[in-house]
Amino acid sequence: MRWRKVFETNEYGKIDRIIWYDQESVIISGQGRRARSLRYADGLEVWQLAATTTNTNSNQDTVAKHCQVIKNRYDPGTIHILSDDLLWSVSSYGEMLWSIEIPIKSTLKNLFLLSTSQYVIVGSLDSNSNQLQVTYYSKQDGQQAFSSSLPWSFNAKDSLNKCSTMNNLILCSNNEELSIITIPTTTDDTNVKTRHIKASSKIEQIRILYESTTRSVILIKSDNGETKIYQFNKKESTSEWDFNELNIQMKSNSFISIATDKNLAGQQILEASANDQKLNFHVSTINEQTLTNTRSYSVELPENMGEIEYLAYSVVKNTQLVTLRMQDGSLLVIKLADNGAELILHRDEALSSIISVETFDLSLSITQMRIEEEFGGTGMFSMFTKRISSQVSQLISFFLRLLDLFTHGNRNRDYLDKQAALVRDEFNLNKILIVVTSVGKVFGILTQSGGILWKNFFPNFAPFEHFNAVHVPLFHIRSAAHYTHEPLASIVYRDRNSLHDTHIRTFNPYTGDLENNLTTSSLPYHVKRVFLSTQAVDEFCKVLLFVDTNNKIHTYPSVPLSRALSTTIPTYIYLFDKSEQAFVGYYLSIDENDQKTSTNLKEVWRVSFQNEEVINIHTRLSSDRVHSAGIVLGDRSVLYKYTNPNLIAVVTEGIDYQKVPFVNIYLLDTVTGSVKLSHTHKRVKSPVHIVLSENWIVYTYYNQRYRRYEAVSSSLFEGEAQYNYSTFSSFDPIEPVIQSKAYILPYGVNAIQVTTTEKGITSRDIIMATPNGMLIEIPWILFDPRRPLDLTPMDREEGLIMYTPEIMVNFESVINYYKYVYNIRGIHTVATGLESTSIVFAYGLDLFFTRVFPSRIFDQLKDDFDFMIIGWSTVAFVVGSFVAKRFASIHQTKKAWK
Amino acid sequence: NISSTTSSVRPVPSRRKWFVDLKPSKQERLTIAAAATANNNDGAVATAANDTASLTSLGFSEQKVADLIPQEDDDRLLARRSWDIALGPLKQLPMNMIFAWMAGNSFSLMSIMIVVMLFQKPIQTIFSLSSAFASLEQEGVGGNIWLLKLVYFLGSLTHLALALYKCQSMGLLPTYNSDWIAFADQQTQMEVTAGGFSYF
Repeated sequence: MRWRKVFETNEYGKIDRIIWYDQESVIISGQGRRARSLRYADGLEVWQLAATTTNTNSNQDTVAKHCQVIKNRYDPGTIHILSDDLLWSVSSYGEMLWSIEIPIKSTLKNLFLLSTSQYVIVGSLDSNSNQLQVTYYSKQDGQQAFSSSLPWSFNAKDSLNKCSTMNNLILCSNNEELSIITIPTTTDDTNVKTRHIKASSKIEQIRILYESTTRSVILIKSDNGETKIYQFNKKESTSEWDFNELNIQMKSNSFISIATDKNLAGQQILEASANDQKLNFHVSTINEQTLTNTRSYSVELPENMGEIEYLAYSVVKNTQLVTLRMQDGSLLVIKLADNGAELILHRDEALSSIISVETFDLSLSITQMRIEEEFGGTGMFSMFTKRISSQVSQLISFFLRLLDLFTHGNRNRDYLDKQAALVRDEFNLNKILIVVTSVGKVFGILTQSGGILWKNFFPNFAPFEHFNAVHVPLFHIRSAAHYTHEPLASIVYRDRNSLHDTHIRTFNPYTGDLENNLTTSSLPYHVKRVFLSTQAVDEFCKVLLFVDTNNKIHTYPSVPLSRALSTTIPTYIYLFDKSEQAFVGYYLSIDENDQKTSTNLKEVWRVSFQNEEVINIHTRLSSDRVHSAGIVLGDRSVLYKYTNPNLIAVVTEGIDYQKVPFVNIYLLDTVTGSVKLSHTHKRVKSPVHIVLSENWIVYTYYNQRYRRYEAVSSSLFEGEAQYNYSTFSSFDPIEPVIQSKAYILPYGVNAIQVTTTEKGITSRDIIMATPNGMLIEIPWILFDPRRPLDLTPMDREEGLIMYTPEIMVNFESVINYYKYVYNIRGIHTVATGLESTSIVFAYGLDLFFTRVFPSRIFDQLKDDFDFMIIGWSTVAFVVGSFVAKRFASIHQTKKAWK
Repeated sequence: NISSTTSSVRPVPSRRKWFVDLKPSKQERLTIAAAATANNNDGAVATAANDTASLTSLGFSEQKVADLIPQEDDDRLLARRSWDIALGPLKQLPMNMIFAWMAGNSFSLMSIMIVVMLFQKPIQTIFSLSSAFASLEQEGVGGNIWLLKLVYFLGSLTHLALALYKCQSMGLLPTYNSDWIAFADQQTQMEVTAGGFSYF
């Protein structure tokens, strides 16, 4: 990759249209409010222009904004942009030619933008009179020249979805009919002509394949799969067009792209279709009415990539290149040559859209398994025989390995290395990451190399909606702890076509092979929520529990609920209903002897929000472990932590009666429905990023009043005494004491997460991804809400740091150094076998993986530890002591003789 | 002991415990000389007298010395000695207290060494309890030896108490809840909860 340019994450980074030139391209983004030019050679942004806009209340109606960008065909260096009520023109060398604001009228909506050699034409729909008002603006200075109007039968929404513009034509599909409306281009000719093309069934899509001043090609796709291609030719010296159908045989799933080249006589039309793992291409040349010189190519793909989503055909220096984006997010570049098609580039761009991550431990090595086996038994005799047999087998395998080494040498070294990469290391530092992307491709990634071990594509995949993000449940059905059984992972997703259908796919995380017994596409109920059982059922497998739309709970695979869930500890289920803006808590009572596989849920509590909208729910990590029950104060007394594992954090947003926007944070107990903490922040903007761990919560937001990012940290304590030291129940009458402090962050926040370690002894660090590409590791001590305003000796004894509102970030704490990663959406942390070490995996546009040591390396030797010196000095001491002993005895003997 | 009794019997000039005058005094020499001349005159008698004089060695006294050490006095001394041993640990206590005070409550090599010493000494003395009283038992002090041992033991315990106090003031004793919190088990959960936003 030569260069890359990462755009803003806000609306200004959303690309509306790219206009390609020979040396550079002009990119219009931010709903037509930004124009910039990138040079192909070095990725340099040559110029950038922002639309001059006077209305400042633009952030209120961003949703309704509509933008049209066209390149003037008669003057290719000029680009006209219509952004709602702003019309402006830029030239390709970075000059803003003119910019006008079209007078706003509530009934008038600007829809179409057309251009001729003299005019820029805006078609606006007057919803009062159902007329399309066509206004002509001078191309040179934007002066309004004249306007006319014509009857219009579509409403605004239909016009946007079903119509396209091309030169001076507006094409609108109306069920089985395509209307072609010719807009007159000069003042003297005001005749609006409408012609129709009939299709066999309802028109689904109109696409403009090629557009020039004299010739255009469009594609009409009907919903019965029929595709037709029409060619438009301009009549001489008029503004009217002739059209004729091109007789091209197309499959229903094929894509069309057209390339022009100066060297070519006409246009080349490429038809591409995907068929399993094969891509088929047909290249033809368009003559006046017919197609000639048809040639077919086909290329075998390395994996199933689904359908084609985007196709671009271009001829660069006599090389025919096809660029495709497949359904699985793959970027393909295929070269068509005389000797056939060749795949020259394949990138898994799906990796930039990861939505769920889970980590699996690697499998035990054979020797480790034997050790497990050796100490597995009970009874003296069986253990003894096991020990003998395992040691004999170890000896045999040792000799076999020696033999193999002598006979084969290094021949199967690669294979062995590959096998070794899949075996758990001594400290369980290397793992396998299972990532699910929003396009339905699942990858298995080895952490030590970042190499993709396997990938699986599920074509009918659609993720669940999660507020304004997407979400796919990914579960450990069987963990890697059971060495006799391979681990299993499950994903649950919706069907792309019928969103109420749920699919379950269970696979082996080491190979990606589907486990067909636990894979289904037909659940007889509509799933409202899925979660994992607390207890393993058969062969150490956990089962999935589904709550359906009738508030019934089901198991998959079907087992009695009494086996999937603990019968001694009651289970509570909470669901957030978006339409009601309410959390509802359910109680699940299971009788031990009950063999029912599904049961009804009983509602026990309900928390509903009024005048505020829940924008996020945050739960703690399932791997969160609390090692110490309290904090030791300076006077050696204990402040007990309120570690309630049933707490979730809820973020709500709203506008109060003074029109001030606010954000509320709640800690909700999901067993009782009681609110344990509530904070209100006024003049604060989401997104709110939350870390909830142990007895504390840290969240960040943007403060609009001071224009800075802030973090709030709160801790919950039981107090000086513990209510019950052995058990915790949400029903215990504990009123937690809350301490809070707010801090100013030096950077913005894209995602935050807390480090995880195996036992939770190691202190916590907060990992923060910033918009400028850094991943910062900040010790939680800096966020400690108990940081005092004036430091007493007792606080110093406790190790507290004096409170300063700013959190200072050392550049040493940037864990990715200069390997900046952008648009990070999430961070995943996992514990390793070493208590000091936590694994950090950040994903977003880029992926980053590292290990962090929040309390330094206290359980392993440093990298620069000199084994040689220690080894040799030990040897020297042993030898020296023997020598000294001998000398001492000689000396003693001599002394005795004196 | 014997020298002291001798001195008590025959007072001698100060600074000398005892002495034998090997040089005959002038008077004795005169008597010997007179005897010799007399021997010349009438030999037999003089020789006999000379014999008696030369037979008695110097410092020899015909007079029998009485054994003046009384039995009660011996017992008193033995008791004093045994109490000396028994109260030995107690007598060292003030010194150790000064040591402990000098060491301070901060952690340094010195203070740690002193704490170790404070513990080591009384434990050593307790273990050497029987050997400390072994000489007394040989001399046949029966009776109140148990009392003595008890006093000795209690004295050592005061040392231990001092050592513990020192540890306490240095904060080395796990007497607070906070010292045990790391060993506390995790609370078991009485409820299990699951859920989230609903998909539909």
